[in-house]
Order: sequence, then structure tokens, then C-alpha cells
Amino acid sequence: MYQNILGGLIGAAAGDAMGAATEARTTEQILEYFGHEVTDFETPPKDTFGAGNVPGQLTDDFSSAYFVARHIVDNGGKVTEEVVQEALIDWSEHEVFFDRFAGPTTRLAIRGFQGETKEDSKEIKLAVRQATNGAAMKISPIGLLNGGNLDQAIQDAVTVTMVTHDNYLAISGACAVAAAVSRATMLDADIYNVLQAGLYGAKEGEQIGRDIAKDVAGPSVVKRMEMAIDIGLGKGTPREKMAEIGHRIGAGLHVAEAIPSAFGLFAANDGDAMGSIIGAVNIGYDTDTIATMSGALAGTLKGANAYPAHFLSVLEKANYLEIERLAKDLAKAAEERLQTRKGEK
Amino acid sequence: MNQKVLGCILGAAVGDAMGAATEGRSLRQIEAEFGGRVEEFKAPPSDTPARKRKAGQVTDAFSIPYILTRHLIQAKGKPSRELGKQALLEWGGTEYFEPFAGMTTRSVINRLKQEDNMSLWAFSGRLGNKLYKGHYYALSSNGAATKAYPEGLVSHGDVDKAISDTVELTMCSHDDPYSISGACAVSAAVSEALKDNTSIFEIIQKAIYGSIKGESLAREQSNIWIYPGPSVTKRIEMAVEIALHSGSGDVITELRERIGSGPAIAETVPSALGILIANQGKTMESIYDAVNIGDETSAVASIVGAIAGTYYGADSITEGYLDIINRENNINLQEQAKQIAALW
Repeated sequence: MYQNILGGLIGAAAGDAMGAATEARTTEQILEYFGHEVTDFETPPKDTFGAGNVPGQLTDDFSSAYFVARHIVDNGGKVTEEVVQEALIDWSEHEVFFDRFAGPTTRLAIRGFQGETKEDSKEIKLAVRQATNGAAMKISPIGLLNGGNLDQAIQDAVTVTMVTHDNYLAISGACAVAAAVSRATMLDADIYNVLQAGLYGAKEGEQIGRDIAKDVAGPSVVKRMEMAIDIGLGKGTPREKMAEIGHRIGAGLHVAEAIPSAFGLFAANDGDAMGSIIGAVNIGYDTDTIATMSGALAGTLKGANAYPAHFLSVLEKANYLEIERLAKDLAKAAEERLQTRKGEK
Repeated sequence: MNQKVLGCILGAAVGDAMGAATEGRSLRQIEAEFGGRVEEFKAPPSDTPARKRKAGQVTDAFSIPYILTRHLIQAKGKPSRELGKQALLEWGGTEYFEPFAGMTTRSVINRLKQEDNMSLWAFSGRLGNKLYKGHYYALSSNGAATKAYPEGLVSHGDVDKAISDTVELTMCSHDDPYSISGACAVSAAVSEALKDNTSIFEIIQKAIYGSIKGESLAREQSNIWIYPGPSVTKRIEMAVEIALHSGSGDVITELRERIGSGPAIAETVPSALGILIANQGKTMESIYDAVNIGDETSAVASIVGAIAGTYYGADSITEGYLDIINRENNINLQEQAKQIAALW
């Protein structure tokens, strides 16, 4: 389990850092700028969000996931609204990650629970443009913490998501990733059952979200996931499927683009640890977020040894984060949860 | 009076005004607010951009192309980027700008108002990203498509002219290949629908032709901005498939859940075309489905209304709606229809 947990963290972190260099470009613009497909850590170009980052440096995606996971582990593995808020406030005070990278929905939410009142509060605002991928990007550690217990992973993912993304589509997307990662930690995990767990999570999350969260207009995460997985498991090379996923599903920050694309790219690369990341890094648009999620899925399935040896040390040094220690603590917390569950049975 | 021309602009106005009440809502939220589907003009609820406006009043989706059409008429039908800018500037001074300006159009007009003094960095996306100037949520947005029917009308059935005019005019605000692709799909469809002997099949074929040709012409422009995003052409293919093989299911639900109807032009235009196929182009049925698909309903319904209204003519639109639209918006659509037909 530890190797899977560490793999999931490295995959997510590497996806974020590699995607930081390609974000907002098209596939063609990525090839043109770098002269090749991006397959390792690169310096982000000056015209993108990640400008100023060194190779291996993160953006909001994995850094927020790390802070949330760290606070949960330090809270004895308990996932509560308060601990997630504390984690995000702590993260928002970090000089690099928040100011430069925090996305629109997360920014709004953190301001809200820090006590800032919104103007025009009499009007009930529709939750338009909030069904974004910012909840799912930081959810993979919740799957790691609940390895093999899909329903608990889903329940905890709902708790985390509601803090920033109070709408049923964002919950559906986050639960898809959490459930799939949870399944990927198991000994008998394979591509099919990880994808099935993802679809199960998306459906469950949608149901739960309909009951407890705001309704919102927008395409279905579940149906777009089915479409992306169809492409991923269909004919063609991984590169051809990447282009199809980008053109048909889309790789933007909408939850019904980014999350389905991450699953489609995972399927298109047979769950390969590096291939799943490389597909997401080169698809264009919101590459870092998609790669964070496809990297978490594939890294958890294949384990830490599937990555080049330098990845972990580069990621830890470039970001001053202790990823290996977090993996150990997550493994310990996951084991404790497993034992408690066995005891209850 | 050319019934097709009047049908186009009236259909666009009716779709926009009816969609103003459901704008931004999911189907469930529409049903909860109105006690069922919306199939008439309603006063927009207080949480929509059109709050405090009256039933039958239009928003940006129709007012922008209405003003653009006036400018085209003055220029004897000859389009140019400059004309497009002037029309947007005029629109930017109207009551419609503040509540309704969309994600791309708002920043373009703000820049025009400053007489191009705004630096590229300030003009570009948030955080000074210089790669794009559209909104990151939907880099290629549907504002290009809602204002594309006038080029179709002016073309008088010459589809290739409609496409090249649309490329030229769209470049003034939505200067990226997918926005232009979606806009050309709409203007090509309207151009084809003007013909006496055509069909919904032919209209959709021309829309697909327009989306492909528009994208390729856009990529040849020297000052084009290239953005990532889903392909309008491929999403149209998908919407056509959905419309034709949902025999046992509900086409509109499938379009809503698989294609979407949000601000991305690769959602709006494909869903609008899927709705037309599902309703065999019938004007009011198509508009009703668009009004109730949810999300950016004004945009979807105005596109659907423009194409279906052209195909079936003004008589296909509920009797009395022309008077309501003219009165509530202080405009004269018959006069504008005459002036458009006089350009041919």
C-alpha cells in the first residue's frame, strides 16, 4: 500500500509540475515552443501562469492537495470541514502557491470563510461558472487515505469539496477521482476496475450532491466520463486518442471537461504511470490540473517505482515539501482506518 | 416584405427574450422557478442578469446583432473589422452593456472605449497571461455565434460570401479559430435557409461546411490568436449523432448532458443545431427546447430562432410576438427586414 500511496503523490505532483510548463497552450503550441513533446520537468514559458517557476515547481493543484492532506493527517486522519478550512487558509498564506495560482472558485470560497462578506447579498446568485475542477484537483489524497473503501472515500470527498465547491457537478467530479484512487490502491486493481470505481464515484457524488449541494447548469460529469473512456479504450495510438479527447471532450477548467479527460487519458495509456501524465501534459489548455488527476490515478495503480528516480527529490527540493513523509503518514492513517473498519465489522 | 428575413430577426429576438427568463438555470431550477417548462415571455427572476427587465425584452444576444445589422445596412452590406468595432462601441453605450456584456465582448469593448490605449498585457487574460485574451473559463465563447446571422442574411444565399464576411467581422472581437468556426456555422446555415428549395439536412450540411471552412480561413489570418479548446466541428458531428440516434431517449437531455449549453461556443452552436434536427426545424418548438435546455439559454434560443425563423419564415412565429418585441424593445423589425432585403 505504501508504494501505491507514494506513487499516487508523486504522480499527482509530477503532473502538476510538468503541466505548469504547458498550461494554456494548444498541443501544437507546446510542440512549437519546446521543440518536442513535454516528458519531463521544464521551465514554464514567460507568457503563462507558471512563469517564474523552476522545473519541478508546483502550481495550485498539488500544493493545495498537499496542504489538505497534511492537515488531515495531523488531525489524526479525521476529515472535517474545519480541518479543510484551516488547511486552505494555511495554504492561502503561502507566498507562492495561493497568490499566483489560486483559481476563481477556490479564491471566492476562501474569502468567504475568512469572514469577508459578499456584496449584493440580498440577491440569491445562481452558482454559474463554479462547476470547475478545483475540488477534484486536490482530492486524490482522500482516495489514498481511504484505500479500498470507496464509499468512505466518496463521503470524505464530499466533505472536502463542500468547503470550496458547493455544487453537485463539482462533487460528482471530485468523488470520481477519490473513488478511483481508492480502488487503485488495492492489490487486485486494474484499468477496468479503477475506471469502474471512477464512474461509481461520479454517479454517487452526483446523487449526494443533488441532495446537499447547490444545483447548477452544465453538462454531466458521468456522461462525459463515459464518452472520454470510450475514446480512451477505443482504436488508435495514445497520441491520436489524446487529440480526440481534447477536441471532443475538452481540456478546460470545467469539471465536465477536465475530470473526464483525466480518466480518458488514463485509459488511453493503459494506466501507464508516465504515459498518463504525458498525455495530459500535452493535450493543451488546463494541462496541469488534468495531469495532476491522471497522474494520481496512474501513480497509485503502478506505484512509486514506476517513476524516474529523480522525480521525488526534484519535487521535494523545488517546493520545500516533504512528500515522502506525507506518504508515510497517509499510509499509517490509512492502515488505522482499515483496522478500525475491520474492528467494527 | 421578405418573410424569411423577418423570420430570421424575429426568431432571434424571440429566442433571446424568452431565454432571458431561464438564463443561467439548470432544467430543475427552471421547473422549480416557473412550475414547468417556459414556453412564453416571462419576467426574468431576480437572480438572472436580466432582472428588473420586462417580459419580451431582449438582452445582448439580440441587441448586438441588431445594432451590427444597422451598421451593415449603412455600409450597403459591406463588412469590415472597423465596422464591427464601431457597432460594438455603439452597443457599449447602450443600456444592454452593463448587465449583459459577455466574457469576451466586455473586455473587447472596454479596450475599444480606451481607444486602443490599453496595453496588450492589461488586455490579456487574468494574471497578465499573454497567451490569450479570452476568458479562461471558455476561451472561445458564444458571443461570436449569436451575432453571426446578419452576414447570412446579407449574403442572400451565397454561403461562401456569408462565411468570408463572418470571418472578417468576427475578427473584430472573437479573433480565434474556434469562435470563428462557430460563427461561420451559424451564418452559413442562415444563408442556406434563405433559399426557397432547401431542407434542414441541407442547412445542417452548410453549417458543418461553414464551421470547417471558417476555422481554416481563420487559421490563415495573420493576427489570429490560437487557443486550446474543444473543436466546434467535432462537437457538431457529435450533436448530429445524438439528434439522430436518440430514438428511444430524449434528444434534448442528451444534448444538455453530453454537449452542454454554456458559454463555450463548442457547446452553444452544436446544441443549437442538434435542437433544430430534433424538431425538424420547426421554429417555436425549437425555441422552446432551447429556452429549456438550461445554462446560456438566450444564446442557444436566439441562434435556433434565427435559423428556424429563416427557414420557415415569420409566419412560423406565434402571432402577436412581432408586436410585443417591437413595443417592449422600442424597435421596428419590419423596417430592418426591408432594409436588409433592399441590399440584395
